[in-house]
Amino acid sequence: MFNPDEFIDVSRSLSGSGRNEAEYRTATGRALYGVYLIAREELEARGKKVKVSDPNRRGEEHGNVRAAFKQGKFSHAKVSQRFSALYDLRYKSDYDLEATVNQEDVLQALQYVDYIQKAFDTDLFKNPPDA
Amino acid sequence: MTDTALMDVVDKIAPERDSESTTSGHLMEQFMNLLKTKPYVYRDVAGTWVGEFTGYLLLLKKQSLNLDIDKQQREDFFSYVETLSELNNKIHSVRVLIEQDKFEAVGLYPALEQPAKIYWQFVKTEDDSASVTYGEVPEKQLGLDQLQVPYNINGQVSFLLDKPTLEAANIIIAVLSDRITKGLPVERVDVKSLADYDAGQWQELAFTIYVNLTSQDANRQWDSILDEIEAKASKQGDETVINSLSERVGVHFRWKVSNHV
Repeated sequence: MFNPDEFIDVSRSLSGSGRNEAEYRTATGRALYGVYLIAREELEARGKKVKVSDPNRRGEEHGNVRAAFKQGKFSHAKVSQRFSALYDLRYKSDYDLEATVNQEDVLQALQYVDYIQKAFDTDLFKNPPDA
Repeated sequence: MTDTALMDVVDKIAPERDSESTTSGHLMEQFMNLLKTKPYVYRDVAGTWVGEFTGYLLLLKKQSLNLDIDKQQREDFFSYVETLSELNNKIHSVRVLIEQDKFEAVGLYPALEQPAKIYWQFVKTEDDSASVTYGEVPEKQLGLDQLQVPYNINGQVSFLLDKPTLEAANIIIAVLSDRITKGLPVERVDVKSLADYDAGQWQELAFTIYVNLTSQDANRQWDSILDEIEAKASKQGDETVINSLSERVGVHFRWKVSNHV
């Protein structure tokens, strides 16, 4: 099974200076997808249904994961706001051709990811799913 | 989306504006009829367009209302905004059915600026006494001038400003303003609409606060501000505002990261 941490590793590997904009855009997107997929799997493992079986509606899983951190058992305002900021950077990277995406955007995205992962490890998903 | 189609709507609304029978529901019906004739209107284009148009409708409304002192008119104003938000949600639903026209719709983006100018010209021509300028309605409602730092607001935020979200935003501005006064090194604040590109499930009024701090200090300040905002909202006790804070508002910090990695 693929480990989404590897997306974050790819993002870090593309975050150095001297990369081209396409690489910085890719790195920003992979940072978001890495931590999003970790969140999705951790939530599912703890009984929170966020996955969608209909392949035509897969995009809704993003909204379901975000919703899980906004309200209910897994609500966490600080994590939710980091996700919001990450999506902002990801949309800029993936859709906005007028904007310039640079190394600073990637590093910022990775620092949001660092915060979220730390919150997962020390708070939200500290205990194993079956505990 | 052609200028002609947009001007048709303007023509329909112009006489309605002065009529006692004007209702936001009636305007919504006109919108929906227009959208039915333009099935290629994709969610982002439609959302942007509605956002722009909402801004201008609010301008028209603002000209005839004194929102600062009349409670009933203020309630009407929020009712108006809520109805337009519902319209926006409907457009998002419609987009699920017409997603295949995405690429054609993206090509329509550049065409949005011109109708925006047409609307603005229309408003100015109709009433030269208009005291508000494009984008100023949400800016004034949010009270951004309290911040005492440069800010930029995207006109598309109008349709997000239902009453609870506006009150939530006012709490954020108040907390941020206080922190800036006490020395938080904020360089500027951007306010914009942030929407779910993947499935259209969420939309947020997003504040991006650019600070001159290290990563560690920025995260600490960010968390502290979120705590204070939450505490103030809880103290006020309005569940709709508390809900808006978690569901419909984004508070983002950005800092200079290059030297701190």
